[in-house]
Parts: sequence; C-alpha cells; structure tokens
Amino acid sequence: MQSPMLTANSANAGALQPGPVMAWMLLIWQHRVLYLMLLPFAALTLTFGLWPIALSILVSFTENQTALSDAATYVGLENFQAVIADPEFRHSLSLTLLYTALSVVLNLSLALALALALSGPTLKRGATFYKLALFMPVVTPEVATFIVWKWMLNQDFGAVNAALSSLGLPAFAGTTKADSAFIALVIVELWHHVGFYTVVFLTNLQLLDASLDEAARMDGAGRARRIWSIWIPQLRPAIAINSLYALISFLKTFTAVIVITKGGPNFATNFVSYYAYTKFDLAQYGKATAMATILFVIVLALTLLVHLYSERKDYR
Amino acid sequence: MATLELIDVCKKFGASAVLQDVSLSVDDGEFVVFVGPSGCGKSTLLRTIAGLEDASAGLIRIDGAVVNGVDAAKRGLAMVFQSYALYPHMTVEQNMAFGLKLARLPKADIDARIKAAAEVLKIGDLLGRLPKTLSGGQRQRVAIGRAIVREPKIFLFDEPLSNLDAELRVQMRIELARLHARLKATMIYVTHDQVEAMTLADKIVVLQAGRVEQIGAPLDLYNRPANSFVAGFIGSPRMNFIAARIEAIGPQGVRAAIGGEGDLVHFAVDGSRLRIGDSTILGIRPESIAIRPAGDGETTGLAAEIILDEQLGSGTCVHAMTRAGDILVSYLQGQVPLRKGAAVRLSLPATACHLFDRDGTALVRLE
Amino acid sequence: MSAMRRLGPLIANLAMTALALMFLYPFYWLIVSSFRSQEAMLVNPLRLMPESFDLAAYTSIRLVGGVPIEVYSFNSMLITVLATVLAVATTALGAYALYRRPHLPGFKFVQFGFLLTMMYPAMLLVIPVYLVMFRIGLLGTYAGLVMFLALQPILFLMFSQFFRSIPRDLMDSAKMDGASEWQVLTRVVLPIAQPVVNTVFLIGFLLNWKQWLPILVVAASPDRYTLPVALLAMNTEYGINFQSTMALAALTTAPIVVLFLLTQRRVIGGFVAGAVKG
Ligand SMILES: Nc1ncnc2c1ncn2[C@@H]1O[C@H](COP(=O)(O)OP(=O)(O)OP(=O)(O)O)[C@@H](O)[C@H]1O
Ligand SMILES: [Mg+2]
Repeated sequence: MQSPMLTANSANAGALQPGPVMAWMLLIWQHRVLYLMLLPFAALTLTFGLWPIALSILVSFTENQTALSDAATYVGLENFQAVIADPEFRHSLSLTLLYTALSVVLNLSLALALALALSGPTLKRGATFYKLALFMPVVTPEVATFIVWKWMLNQDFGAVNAALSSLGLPAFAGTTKADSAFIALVIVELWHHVGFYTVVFLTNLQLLDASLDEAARMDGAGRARRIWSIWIPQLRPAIAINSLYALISFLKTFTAVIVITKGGPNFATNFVSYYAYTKFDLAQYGKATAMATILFVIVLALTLLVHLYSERKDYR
Repeated sequence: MATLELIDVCKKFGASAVLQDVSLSVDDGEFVVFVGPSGCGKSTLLRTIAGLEDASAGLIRIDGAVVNGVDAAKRGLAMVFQSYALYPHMTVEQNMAFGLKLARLPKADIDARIKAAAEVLKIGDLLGRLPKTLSGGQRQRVAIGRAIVREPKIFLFDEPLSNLDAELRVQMRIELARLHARLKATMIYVTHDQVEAMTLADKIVVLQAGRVEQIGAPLDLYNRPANSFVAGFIGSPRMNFIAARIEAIGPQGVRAAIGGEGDLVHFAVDGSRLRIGDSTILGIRPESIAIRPAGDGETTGLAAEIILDEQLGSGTCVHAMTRAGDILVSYLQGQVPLRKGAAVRLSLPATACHLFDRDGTALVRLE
Repeated sequence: MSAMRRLGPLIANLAMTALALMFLYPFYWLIVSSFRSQEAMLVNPLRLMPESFDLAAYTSIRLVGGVPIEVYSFNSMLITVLATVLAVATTALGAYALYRRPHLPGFKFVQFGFLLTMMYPAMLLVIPVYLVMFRIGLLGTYAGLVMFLALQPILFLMFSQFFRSIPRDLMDSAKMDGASEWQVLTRVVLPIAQPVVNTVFLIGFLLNWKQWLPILVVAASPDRYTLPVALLAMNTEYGINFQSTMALAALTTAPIVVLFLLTQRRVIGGFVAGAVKG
C-alpha cells in the first residue's frame, strides 16, 4: 500500500527540487533578516576597508602624476621596482623588521614575566593597582602620551636625564642620536603596549588547568621547572595571539614616529609606514602605495605563518 | 491532528552527507523514537524536521503540507533540548510564556495554560524562580512545560533525559510516558538509550551513518531485526554473533555449522537465497541460550567453558568460550551456581536463532 | 630563615610598586608640568609639586590655531560618541549575523574582507579613504568621519567572542518558540548581552577618543579637529610652547584617565575578551 504512494511522492519531489540558482536565491530570501543585519557592517567594511585597500593597491601600479586622476597611466611594476631599488627603502624595511623583532620579543617576554609574577600569591594584594598602572598607557591617547615622552626625553629639562644624572648614571641621548632614538621608540612603545599583552597572559594563566600543576608538584617539580614545562606550553595559544597582535601593531608603527622622532635623526627611525607617509606628502602616490602594499603583504604573510603555526600545534 | 512524513530527506554539511534518503511517516498521536549510535545523525534529523536545518534534498510534510523552506518559527512544533536551553534572564513563568506572548495570545489564556502545565509537571511553586536556581530535573520539567503550553502539532525531544542522573532519568521516563498518554500528542524523541526507546516508543527508527536501518514497533525490532546492526543495537545484553557455514537447506529451514568442529545448528529461516557452503552469521540473544552443566554423558549442544560469570542478583550473565574459541554470552534468570572454569553445554533453539547473510541482512524467518 | 621568607615578598612588592609608579609617572609629570613654566622646568625637571598652580597654560589654550578649545572638545565628544554608537550597532548586528549563519552566501567574504582591513597599515589606508570620501561626497563631513571610525576590529572580535559563548540551543529554542530572527536577537540575545554591550561601548569610546590620523586627513578645516588632532598640530606647528602643549595634553588625557579609573575592571576584561583566540 505504502510504496506506490511513496514513489508518486518522490516523483513529485523531483519536480519541486529547485535548481542551484533558485536554491541560492531562496536561501537568501529565507535569511533576509540576517542579510539586513549584516548590511550596515558589510557596507562599512566595503566602503572604508576593501575599497580603499583596492584603490591603494591600484594606485601602486600607476604613475605618480596621474595616480589620483580618473585617467591614470598604468606603469606595471615600475613603482615596485623603483621602491626596491631605493636604498633608503631597503634601509627602512630592515629597520622596520629589526624594530618589530626587537619589540615583539621584548614586549612578549616582559609581559610573560610580569604576568607570571602577578599571578602568584606574592603580589596578590596589590594586583589591581599593578594591573591598572600597566594598562593605563594602553587606553590613554597616544598622541598625548607620546608628546609627554618626547618632552621627558628632552636633553634640557626632560625627566629622564634628570633622573639618570641624579642616580649618577650617564645621560641618555634620547632623540638626538640615531641609536638612542631607535631605543627610545622601543622603550616608549613598550610602555604603551606591554600592559595589554600582560593582561592577556594573566587572564590565560588564570584559566590554566590546575590539576596538571598539582600533578607536577606531586612529582616534586620546583616552581621554575613547572613554569617552564607545565605553564608555558599551555600558554601557547595566548603566545600565538599576542605575537599576532604585536606583529601587526609593531610592523605598522607610525604614531610614535610622527610624534617623537619624525623618522630622524638621519633616518634612524624612518620605518616603512612613516617613509611611505612622507612619500605621500611629496605627492609620490605610486611609490607610497607600493610601499604600503609591500608592508601589507609582509603583515599578511607573517600573520598567516603565526596562524598556521598555532593551528598546527593547538591540540586543545 | 498532526502527522509527519519524510520523503528521501538528505542533509549535507559541505561535502559530508549526514542524512541519506531518510523516508518515514508518523501518524497522529504516535510516539516515535530515533535511536542509533553517537554521530549517526539523530539530532540532525530532528533539527531538520524542526526547521533548524534546511534539508539538502527531499520533502518534509506536516499534516500533508510541504514545509521545506518554512521557517522553524512557523512550523508550529516545539522542541525540548538536552541542555534544557532555558532563557537565563527570564523566570520559569516568563520562560513558559515567551512563545505564547510572541504568538500574541491573550494574557488570561497564557496564565491558564501555564497553570495547567505547571500542575501536570508539579512546578507550580517554581514559577517565580530563575533557571540558574533550579536543579537539573526541575529545569527539564520547565523545558517540557515550555513545550506543552504551546500546544504544538508535534513535540520534538533531543535526548531530554541524558543530563539527569540514573534515578531521575527513570522517573522522568515514566512521567513522559504518562504525559504522552494524557496529551495524545505526536511526539518524536531522540535517544541513544535503548531502554528509553523500548519503553516509550510506539515506533522505533534505527539510524546508522545517516541511513534508516529499520522502522518498527519495539518488539518487532527485537524479534525480527532486519539486519545484524539492528539486532546488535536493540536488546541488552547484546545479541551474540558467530560465524556459521551453510551445510544443508530444506523447506523447514537451514542447517549451518559453527565453530571448528562443525557443530550443526538448525535455523527456522527461508534458505532459498542461500547455497551450500555460504558463510553467514548466526545471531542469538543471551536470554535464548540454554545452558547446562556438562558431564553425565550429554552430547547435545555446544561444549564450552565458562570464562566469566557476572552475578547481578536478579540474573546471571555467563560468558562461555566454545572449543572453537567463540565466546557466547548467556543470560539466565535468578542466581545460578555456574562459576568460572565450569564445563557446560549450550543449546541454541532453532526458533531463537537469527541468520544473517554476509552483508548482514537478516534471512526471513519461517513462522 | 623566617626573616628571609618575609623579606622576599616585601622586596617583590616593592619592586612591582616601583615599576607601577614608573608606568604612571608620565601621567603625573604631564599634570605637574602643565602648571609649571618652561624656566622652572629647566631649573628642576623632577620637582614633584609645582611651585605654584600657574594656570597660565590653561588660559593660553583658550584658542588653539585660532579655534576655541570648546570646538575641539565638542568635536571630540560628538565624533567619539556618534562613532561609538554606530560602531556598537553595526558590529553587534554584523557579528551576530556572521555568527548565526556563517555559511550563507557572501558571509565568509565579508568576514574575510574585514580581517584583511585589520591587517592593512591603517595610516596608509587613510589616504585612499580620503579619495573614497571625495567620491561619495562625504569629505570633511562629520558623517564621513563617524562612519570611518565605526570600523573597529577589536569591537567586532569582542562581540564574536561573546556570541560564541552563548549556547546555540538557546537561540534554536527561541526559534522553536516562534521567534523571528529579529526577535531572537532583541528578546533573547541582547538581554543576555547587556553587560557586554556596555563594555564594548566603553572600549569603543576609549579607542575613538584616541583617533587622530583619519580626522586629520579627512577633516576639511581645523574647526573639525578633535583634541588629539589639535594637540598634534600644536606639537608640529606651534610646537615651541611646552607649557601649553602639556596643558592641552592633560585636557586630552584627563577624561580618559577618569573614565578608565571608574571602569577599569570592565575595560581590562573587555580588551582581553577581544584578544582570545578566535
Ligand atoms: N553544523 C554541522 N556542520 C558539520 N557537521 C555537522 C554539523 N552538525 C552535525 N554534524 C555532523 O553530522 C553528524 C551527525 O551529527 P548529529 O549531531 O546529528 O549526531 P547524533 O546522532 O545526534 O549524535 P549524538 O548521539 O552524539 O548526539 C556528525 O558526524 C556530526 O559531526
Ligand atoms: Mg545528538
């Protein structure tokens, strides 16, 4: 009785089965409310994200004079060749990479050390105050705080040298010498960012699996040993995410440069983003966007690398 | 009046086919249980019926009307989740009233329905509490109450009892059966607990890897499993399976040899599809095996040695190894003085033996 | 031995306190310096209290670059609040839709496009944004600025993270109760999300208050500048006046410091939530 009915229905079903395009449109129609919810966000992302990026990449293939006009002359890879041939760009790129490497390592290791210290029982009483102090620079406007640092590093009445000399230490040349300007930026940005990474580590430390630590303690492992072989491996996802954030932000370092050193002295802090920005000011749009594109590709590649690494190693 | 019909329903997540050609019809007032091992697609099937997932192909009909593409909110069904899924920011009463308010029911009706449901489920004094202050059993009652007040066409349950402890689970199972008897509503219930399936269901649907293995009344599935998967899945302790080679085929059934010595067993099954020498699988339920101490010149039955005896008080589970190395589990009522190491003889009654061909399909039993 | 045991934690706390004070010192120095003249600074850069509370600097910044300070403050407040409201609304809805049905046609594209935007050097994005604004006629308008600033990666990540923590069954359950997708959001998800929305709003406010480059580039004239942009202009153009710069920097920073002190637990927690792997 039932099977003939079934086959009749199946034939019916076949006839009703929509084609792929129809199915697609049906899906969109069914979920139209979700599409409407996404619309404003998608529109902003497109208009102020993807479109400018595409435009900027496009401009990197055009000639400077006509770059921003409607009838741009496309010159292929000329801008990229010019940029790569430019010794100052190569210098700038290696500076940026050096700065990024140094900053990522310093920030993450200091942050990890601080987080380990703050997570222990010893500093528990003042933990709120310590966290607050470390985090304050993260939220306050950089333009203001970097200007403060610029003046604090001032040779004549800056607090830094006054403090050094009152302690009987040699003076710090600050932004007047090439090496010290570079170091000054590393320190100022460390001050600005490290609180963020510390708090991320700290939160992840508090989520650690306590039973593993207890097991290791039963096995007679000392604190240093446990930190090294129990805690840090578990922090891997946090290390990955912090490295990612740090990589992206230090590769793009800009505000500190424009406020404190303006790329100087003698190009010692002329990082790629700042160099590209000065090219903009000189109306060399093609070159500027070529530099931006190169930096973008580097950020993208490194990000992908870190991401893949952390995915591969993440068994949780 | 609520019937449900599925016709060749398929569901794909990306490339993986989670449901394949599921066809099923559910009558009004029927209690249907989906069982199957973890990951076989029970929840997916239920969610597809609910409208929470879109079927990739096939038709779903409720009361005869095709509901593919109809939003879950508009299908008129209610679902009880394993995690209870109570709204944490609403009191018990608000939780139950939520769906009714959305449907713009008059306040008086809402109150009346909540009162009635609360009475049935004995949660009247919990109405003002927030879900986080309730115990697991109380939460589950509220979740069921939330479904009842909506007077849905069909109730859908996804393992509603699996988060409860054993005792509470039994109690709630009985209450659910009573509830069904009282409401006479169509209910579809997912579980991987076969006791729940056997006791609650009018009809059981056994699923494996996204396919329907068999549909039928609980005892039909128990007595006449369509294949070795269903045979092994339904019934506890599990059915025994051992290899058997066809030796003779006749109108009264077939004879097959098991074990190395070629002990012959008679099966009351239709052997017309078989040939002498075919390898098949014998299946027999532990409670069907008769077991006697060996010795006193007995020669009938399989000689075996007990390798494990599990004394359960109400019954005894005996694991016996034949000389060919097959292990057969037999379940005996009461406390039986058979101990590990004892030599025994097992007899496998022809009417209780199932025979499956090499693909696992059951051979038709002769009545 | 027991003395050692008591001394260890003491030393650790002292060291950590010293470090914390070093982190806070620039803020202190900023306030003190804004009350001290350049000459006084030259004599003693480290003085902890100003010789006198000299308000000269604060009166000198009544006008910065010819524009009254009130205008900058008003711009800061207006742009920050509007951009944050818009950011919270759009990212909450967007992140919710992307979370609910990540596999709908086009959704992956938006998500991916957004992540790409995060990676592009923002300061270089600003110039093409200038062109885009020009093309759609929003150049120099508050509307244009507000919309650009509403695109904030961390806010999106915070919302995504939160939505992922809501059990899917809860939303499915609301659907089964007959809720439309919109009602699921407004009657179930948002009430649960209330504290998170507050936190995201707070963090959006803090972040937008800091913004300077987009405003500098997109603003048609100084009377659209916000406090940080005016401060930057002072740093470069009228840069010699140390004391006034400090006063303006103090004004720019103070509201944020106060807000942060009042809400620090929530703000720090929120930042971390946005930085959890996802
Ligand atoms: N959203 C999804 N995307 C991809 N695969 C899914 C999705 N949901 C379920 N699956 C897959 O579909 C299969 C069936 O899942 P389903 O949850 O229906 O199983 P189940 O029978 O309910 O199992 P359990 O008894 O464990 O609840 C599983 O292999 C699962 O991994
Ligand atoms: Mg399931």
